[in-house]
Amino acid sequence: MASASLTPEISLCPLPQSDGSCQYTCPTSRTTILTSVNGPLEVRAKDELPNDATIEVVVKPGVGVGGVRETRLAHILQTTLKSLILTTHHPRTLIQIVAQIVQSEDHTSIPLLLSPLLNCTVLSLLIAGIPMRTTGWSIHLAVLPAGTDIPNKNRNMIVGQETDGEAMQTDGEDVVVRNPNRAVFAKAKSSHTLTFSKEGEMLLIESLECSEGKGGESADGQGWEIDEWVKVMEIAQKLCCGEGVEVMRNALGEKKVF
Amino acid sequence: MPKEPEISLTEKTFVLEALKQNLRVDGRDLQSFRDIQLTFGDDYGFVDVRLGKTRVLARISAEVTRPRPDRQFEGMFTITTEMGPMASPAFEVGRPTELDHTLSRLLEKSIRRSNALDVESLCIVTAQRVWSLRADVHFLSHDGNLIDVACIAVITALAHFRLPVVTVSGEDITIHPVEERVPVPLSLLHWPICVTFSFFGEDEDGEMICALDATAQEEALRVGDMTITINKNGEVCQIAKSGGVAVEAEVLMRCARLAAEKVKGVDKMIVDALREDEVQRNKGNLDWLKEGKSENER
Repeated sequence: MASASLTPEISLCPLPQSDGSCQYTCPTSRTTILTSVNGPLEVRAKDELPNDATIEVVVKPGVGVGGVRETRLAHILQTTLKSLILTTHHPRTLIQIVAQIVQSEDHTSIPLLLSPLLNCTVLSLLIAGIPMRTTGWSIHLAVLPAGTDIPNKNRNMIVGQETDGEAMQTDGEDVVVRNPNRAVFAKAKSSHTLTFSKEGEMLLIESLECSEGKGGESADGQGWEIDEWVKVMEIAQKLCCGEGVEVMRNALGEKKVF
Repeated sequence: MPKEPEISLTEKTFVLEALKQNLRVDGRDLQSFRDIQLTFGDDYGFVDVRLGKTRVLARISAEVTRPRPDRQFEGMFTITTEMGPMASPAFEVGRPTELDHTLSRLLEKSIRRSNALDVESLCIVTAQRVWSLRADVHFLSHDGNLIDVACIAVITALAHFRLPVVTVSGEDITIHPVEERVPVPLSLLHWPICVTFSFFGEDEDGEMICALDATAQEEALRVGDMTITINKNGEVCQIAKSGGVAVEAEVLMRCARLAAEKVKGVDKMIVDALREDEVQRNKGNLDWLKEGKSENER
């Protein structure tokens, strides 16, 4: 069984009208996001900040009109990006970020959407030439109970088994998968979206406990131990600072980024 | 609030003078469309339409609901169009522009009221359960002619969409997942396609200059526009000309005839794109494709 590639499909500047845009497809969950960044623009008087640029994030759902979920996603993005963008460089202006969910296996699941959204936004910010302190990369990790049956074709999602898909079945120990698709995620007991800057500082934690078979919908006391969480965090840090930075560097390879 | 950049006087004179000589900035003639590109997604009912630099996404989704009490035999079909700052920073979230209203009204008139989709076929159990279909149109990039592109996107997405099979026994209904039973296409009665003409005033001979598929630049300079919705059989579904320069009946007739001709081409292009996608989807699984057709020997 040949395992599919783990490199996301990234296309830069698909939208000619905006200052910076990016389309990002997660390699495993097939979530596709399109973001556009415009800025610095004129800001509405009520949003104007005397010393900073205002960051506006709009998340547009693939199905239906935006609601609480999209506002929540936008808020998470906005707070995370605020720590990355050098807002003091363009005071009294607006940096407008619009993210469109193009395709997703589950349009209602925040964990499946969050990490592609963040990665895509960071890339389009870079293309738009918005001054940033550093770059960030986000990854979604899910912890599956030991002995969970994962179909062969999804084996490459298991952290530590990327190269040899059919290798060993871990016994007794929980399995950590990265960027799971909906089917695998439905078996998860906890889900963690973590974002790290390329220097390894933590920018975002979104951890959820999932009741079995509900795919991140409700919490009924499965939870996680702190040791387990630290383990997950370390994996995420390693992936974001290693692989994540590499992916970003390759994607931007031919582009001139200031 | 950001505005669209205004066109300079030099640019304006240049474009208008060129149009008087039957020339356009992008090298097309007045009666031709830009290249249309259709891309389909992984799931059914999702299409990405590109026309030059204009790009529009359409997605169809379906859910089972109760019908409206005054229309118990009919399913529901809604088209949502919302322009965000992605298409152009001049569009604000939650504050629809005039273009927004025109667009949703036109799509409504062209597709819903022309009965392109047979809503009665969406009924599962009378007065109890019907399919509610929704078409979401997302505008990604605005370089003119959003109406025509949005219409092509919705029609293509409807033709591409597959509805899960439902079995009814008494009061109970079972919706079969896509993996279990091959989903069925929607019953589309005809494919209305919008064609928008832009008018740029009269030339030296007193003839009205009218161009098809205007870019954003040309749209900003036009003095009037008219949208004709027509299907490949030449049946006019609606004509919308709200304001702008007065156009003589003769010009209007000529436009309608030209539109009918153009629509045939667009229609064929959609059919070809859909067929190609069907073949791609069923690669290595041709038996399955044959099974669904009645003309094959059994």
